[in-house]
Amino acid sequence: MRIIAFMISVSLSLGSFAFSNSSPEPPDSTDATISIYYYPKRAGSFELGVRNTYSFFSHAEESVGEGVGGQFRIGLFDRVNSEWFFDYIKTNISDVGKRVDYHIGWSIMYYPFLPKKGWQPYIVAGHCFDLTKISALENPYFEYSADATRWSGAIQGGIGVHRYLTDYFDISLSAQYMQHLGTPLGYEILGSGLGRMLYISDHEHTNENHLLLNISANYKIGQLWGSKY
Amino acid sequence: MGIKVLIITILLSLGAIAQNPLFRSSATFSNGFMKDEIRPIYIGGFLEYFPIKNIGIRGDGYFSITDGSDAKKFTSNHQVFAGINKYFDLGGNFQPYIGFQPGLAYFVPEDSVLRGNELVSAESSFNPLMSLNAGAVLWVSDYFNFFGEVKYVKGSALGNSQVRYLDEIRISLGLGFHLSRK
Repeated sequence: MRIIAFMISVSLSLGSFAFSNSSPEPPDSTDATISIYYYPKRAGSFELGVRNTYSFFSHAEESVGEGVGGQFRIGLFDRVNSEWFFDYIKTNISDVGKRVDYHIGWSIMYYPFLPKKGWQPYIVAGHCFDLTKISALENPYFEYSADATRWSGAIQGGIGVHRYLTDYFDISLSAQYMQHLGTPLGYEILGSGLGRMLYISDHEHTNENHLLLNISANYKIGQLWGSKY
Repeated sequence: MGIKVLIITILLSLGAIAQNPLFRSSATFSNGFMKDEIRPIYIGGFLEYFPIKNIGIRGDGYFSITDGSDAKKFTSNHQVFAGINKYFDLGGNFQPYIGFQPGLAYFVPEDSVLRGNELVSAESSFNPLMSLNAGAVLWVSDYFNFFGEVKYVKGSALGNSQVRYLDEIRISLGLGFHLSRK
């Protein structure tokens, strides 16, 4: 036992010291501790990110929708960025139905301020294509099914903020109000108690707007044009 | 005696220069804690790439092998995540980190559901997830590390039956492999 412990100890020590001697610091360009101005060279930057989206509908029957997605950003100018995104959002409708939204779209971000470090607020507006599916959940008390699907477009706008943790990496938060365009997709919840059911209808809940909260992590992976610094 | 030598060596390792890995990966068992005394077990793995020092871009996969409850709640709750971890330098070989990873769950409930008098199977579904990581790595050699991580997962599964909440605290411990920058 002692011999084994001793051998493990020696191995750990050797590994540790060996690493100390064989791991030079990275070049400056990859060292996150080196501060680089990030905003003056936004033009041409290319970022990839992942995100969660939370959807707050104006419908009282719907819970907060939970979504996942991703985006890439292409910096157009020092004060203007573009974001191209995809979201997959699922929403529980009062335990009697579900709503699934697929958003694919783009936004333009404008930076009214250009701080050199830390938080960077922005204004955002854009457009997306939207596929929405509403369907009833199974009901143990009667046989019933209902579902509806709709393709449409939407416009969205709001505010957000980047928090740069390094010159390459940021966490972003945004709140956007989205207004769906085109044919409304409505529903009603009929009945009460255990007998409730989701009924597809054009007469209720046709105002298709919702508030979207996004949190995303983004990494700048390259420069499409211009220099990095 | 042997244990003391081991502890002293680990403490010595902590004083060494912090690691600067390029890739880190591991495969291990993970235990989850969900509501209603559901205690799922997963075979999990991840691959993490460090484009710059102290920032890791990481992808995770978890294959559920049991829901760990007396009343079976689900047969599958496989999950994938992608996101970023931020590491903190403490001046030694021990590095804590925090991270954010959106994800997706493939969820198959165990039970069937009633449609009137008819019994129909509950359908599988893909469901969005959000997760936050907090963990630490002990870099012990050029290639190996020990790590521990707590992952908070938030989400819900919506198939054709009632909503199932996937909120979970997940713990992973193990031996990891990494490659360092040369």
